[in-house]
Amino acid sequence: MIRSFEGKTPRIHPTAFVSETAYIIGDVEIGERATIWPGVVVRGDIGRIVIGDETHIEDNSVIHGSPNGVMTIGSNCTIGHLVVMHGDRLGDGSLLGNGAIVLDGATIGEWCMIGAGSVVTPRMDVPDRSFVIGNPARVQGEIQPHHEDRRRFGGPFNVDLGQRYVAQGLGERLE
Amino acid sequence: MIRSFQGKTPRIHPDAFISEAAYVIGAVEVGPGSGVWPGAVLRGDFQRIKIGAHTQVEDNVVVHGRVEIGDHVTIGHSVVIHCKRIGSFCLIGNNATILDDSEIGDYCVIGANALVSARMQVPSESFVVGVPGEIRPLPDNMRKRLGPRETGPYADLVRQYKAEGLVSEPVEETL
Repeated sequence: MIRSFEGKTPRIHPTAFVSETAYIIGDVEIGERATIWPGVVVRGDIGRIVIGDETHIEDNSVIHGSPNGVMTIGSNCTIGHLVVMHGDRLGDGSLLGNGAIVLDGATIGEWCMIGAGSVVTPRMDVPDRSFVIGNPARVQGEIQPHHEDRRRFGGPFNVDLGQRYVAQGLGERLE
Repeated sequence: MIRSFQGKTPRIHPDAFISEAAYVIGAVEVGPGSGVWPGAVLRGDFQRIKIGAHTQVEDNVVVHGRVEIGDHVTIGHSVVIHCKRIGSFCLIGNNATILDDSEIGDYCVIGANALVSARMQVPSESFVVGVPGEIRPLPDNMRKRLGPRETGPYADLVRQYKAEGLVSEPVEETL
């Protein structure tokens, strides 16, 4: 479902895929070939949410901004299943593992990997290319080449899968 | 969606908000000013769920089993509630899991991703973190942030979502 709120309508690029069981409302922008999977909630009611090109938000994740703020999720990001994203920024190419939680005011740089189940604490600032795990999350060091290889595989896979859903008539009709 | 189950119909106060994308079924009671956000499931199919006043059940939360939740409680995104009782003025952090027969007092904060184990007794004014949850005294800075929720951002959102018709239609008469 795609809904306006207080006169603001989500702006979703027509090449994106949005599952018909996702709920997107208010001041939200979604880029080219991005994919939004079943059960995802993107709630742009108290702040603006910008999602880049070819970024993937997997099933049952919740994206909700902070009051009067802007949450920026870059391009080529993967947000796993059951993530809660409540931070200010996720840089280009970064990955949030399944069940990861990013709390208020946290910022995550580019090409970071946040492990499954990690809790990125309020206002934490994660530098570019960090490998982060734990509750509370701690930076373990730089990402390794094999992490990067997996990331380069995952993005195109999701773009393609999204297009296959569209071809079957699944998902919201985007103008 | 609001649904009856085996002759039991949710009793939703006229001043409560149930999102059009939430699913509320069976023996469920929701008090005035409370909100049930997109993707949340309140499943009162084999036991009764009672939610007080000015309590927010955020996106993709699951509440199942016999449970009583007090007033002015915030239940963060993707929380799973399977317990007996949560007092008033509590904050349950994003993606926390509250297991069977546990009880949480008033003025408690449960950390993001924390696990309140089965039968755990959490006294009033506690802070619970980790998996399994560890009970600590509630720090003063957190205590100050708990309080009445008749006004504030979520109270405004409840009114605005209702005004814009983003609601589930009631099944029958309300409270």
